[in-house]
Amino acid sequence: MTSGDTARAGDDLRRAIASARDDHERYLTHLAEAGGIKDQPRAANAPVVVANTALADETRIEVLRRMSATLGGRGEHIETLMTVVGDGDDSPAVRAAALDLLAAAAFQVALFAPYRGRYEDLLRTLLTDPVEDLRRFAAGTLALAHDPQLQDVLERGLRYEETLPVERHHAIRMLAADDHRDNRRWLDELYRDGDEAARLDAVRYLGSYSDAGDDLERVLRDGNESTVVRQQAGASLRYLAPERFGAVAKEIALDATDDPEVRVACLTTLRYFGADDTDFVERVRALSEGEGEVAQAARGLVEHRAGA
Amino acid sequence: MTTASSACVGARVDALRTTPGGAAQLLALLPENLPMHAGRTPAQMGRFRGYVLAAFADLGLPDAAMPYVVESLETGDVADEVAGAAVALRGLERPPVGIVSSLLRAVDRRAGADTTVSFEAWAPRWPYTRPTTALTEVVRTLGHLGRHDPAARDALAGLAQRRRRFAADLYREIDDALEATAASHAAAEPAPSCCTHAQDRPVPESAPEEPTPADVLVEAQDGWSGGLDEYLRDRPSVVTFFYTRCDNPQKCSLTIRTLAHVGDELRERGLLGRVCVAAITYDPDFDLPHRLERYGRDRGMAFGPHARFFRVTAGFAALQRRFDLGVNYGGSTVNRHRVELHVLDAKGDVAVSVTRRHCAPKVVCDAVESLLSVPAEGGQR
Repeated sequence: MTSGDTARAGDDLRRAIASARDDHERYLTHLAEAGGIKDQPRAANAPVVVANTALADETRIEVLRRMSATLGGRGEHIETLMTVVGDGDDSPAVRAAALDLLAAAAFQVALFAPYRGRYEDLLRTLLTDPVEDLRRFAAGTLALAHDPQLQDVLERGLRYEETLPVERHHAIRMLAADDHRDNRRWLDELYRDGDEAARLDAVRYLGSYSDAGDDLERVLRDGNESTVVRQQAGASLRYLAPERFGAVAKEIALDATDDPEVRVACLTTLRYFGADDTDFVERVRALSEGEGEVAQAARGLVEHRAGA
Repeated sequence: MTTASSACVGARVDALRTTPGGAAQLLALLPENLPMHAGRTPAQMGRFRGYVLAAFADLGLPDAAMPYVVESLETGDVADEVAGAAVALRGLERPPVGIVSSLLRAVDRRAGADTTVSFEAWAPRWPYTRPTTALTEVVRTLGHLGRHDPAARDALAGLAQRRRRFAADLYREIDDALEATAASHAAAEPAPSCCTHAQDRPVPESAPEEPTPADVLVEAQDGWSGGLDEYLRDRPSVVTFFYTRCDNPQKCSLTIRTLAHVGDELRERGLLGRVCVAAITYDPDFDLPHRLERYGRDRGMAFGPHARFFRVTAGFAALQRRFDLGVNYGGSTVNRHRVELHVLDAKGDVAVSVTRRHCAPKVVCDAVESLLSVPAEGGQR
């Protein structure tokens, strides 16, 4: 950039800042009119507007968006957000927007500490909310925390003992987030009955089960399975049993009838993580003399081993 | 013995609450390595621990249950078990020395993660009719103990000063507890400690009937393999247990960090070589050598011929019996385990065990050094 460009960029930035500031000022004035509080800073109207169910959804959601730092940055406003989210008679869209802001506020560990218990209680209550998006969000958040109440609900739902809060394959994924649970039967179902994304997740989670080597090897070798799922099965098998993966990967890498993309993935992995095997490297050298991605990957392995 | 269904277990505990002699029978259910606990999830194990401990508030807390209470307060990561441990202490008239510090450690660990629990039933459904939290129960117990123990009253006062740290409800509980303790004029001294605080004094263990079986085969993080008895023989050793997928930072991660310090101190004392240090994984199928190595190094472990981590490749059941390992398993991996460290003499017999609490490295080193009576034999293991 020339000095002129720099100066112009600086001027543009200053104009943008001034414009944003003016826009915010106008908004605060509008907010104060909507909230009606005149004897405090205009930003104090933000929680009043959010909580006012008589106002239009768009107005309330705009406050949540524009005043997120205010609403998510003070304890009493967090209480307001939780009240809005927990009001089953309120607008789903406003509740969802408030929940988004609550979730963001939850990252402020010290500020949020006094409210985390009530937040988790709120999420547990949302598991039976009529609004699907709220149920899914609550379940996903509780799943990451390995919440025992959620896990019980999901387990009973998968056994058809009660209604699941989320779609069945999502429920399995949420349970699978806890690798200390025995989720094998559900992961087997996810792989057996799921689409490609579900099968991908199933083989990814199977990497936590010491006895899943046979299943993962079978998927890795399965020429009828999609490339991406086979590659993930390989990654999971390598995580679980590196030597076993190495043996299978070598076979696949040298199999001219196999999926080229899977062969490339095997060669690339073996390039960096494979054990020394001069016989294998010589056979790969023969591959490297051809054309295409497999040959290129083969050359990469041979050159890497030569330089190692 | 088959794994009892969750409902049966809950019914059994509820029945024992009102049974004469129920406390002793409940106590017998606490060890995590009982066959009845196999196949459960960690959450179920924590729930069971908390529910049983809470029952002692009504039945009276037996002395032998105190190590479980202290363990749950200091290393428990399931809200139910921390709450239950706090409730259990209300089954005592007088608090043992040091218990207030354990309660405060629980506060520090649970603050900001004070999940709602309930003991209204074995398997309560949400929403609970009698909700509580671990910190609520800790505060109530401090109030109970504060009738006799100034340390408990001081602890409550200290908690009241920590503004914006806890939920508003908890501050009300603290204020209520302080009022109640202020009304008490009892000035009796706390009861003598009825449990061993392993920081100060490891518990001597009676010698087992046999040393490590010769058919326990191991593989080390550096690829060395052989019999575990071969590694442990002819010199005193420090042996602890862990697994790399432990998600409780107060247990395995801290155990290995402590073991690393033990190794460092032994080295400084010029003893490493005359003694050896070993950590054995509870999860041998998953904890392959590269995982053992990475886990140890990340926690400061300096590996060498006399400082190794192992996975058992054959004879794990024999090892479990040998050490009476405090571990059990769910469908995928460990579902619960205790913290445990053993000091073995040169014959491979357990001389000292520290379980359910972490032990200061210096204390461990003093214990193993005291077993040295002959120079180390030559030859590398």
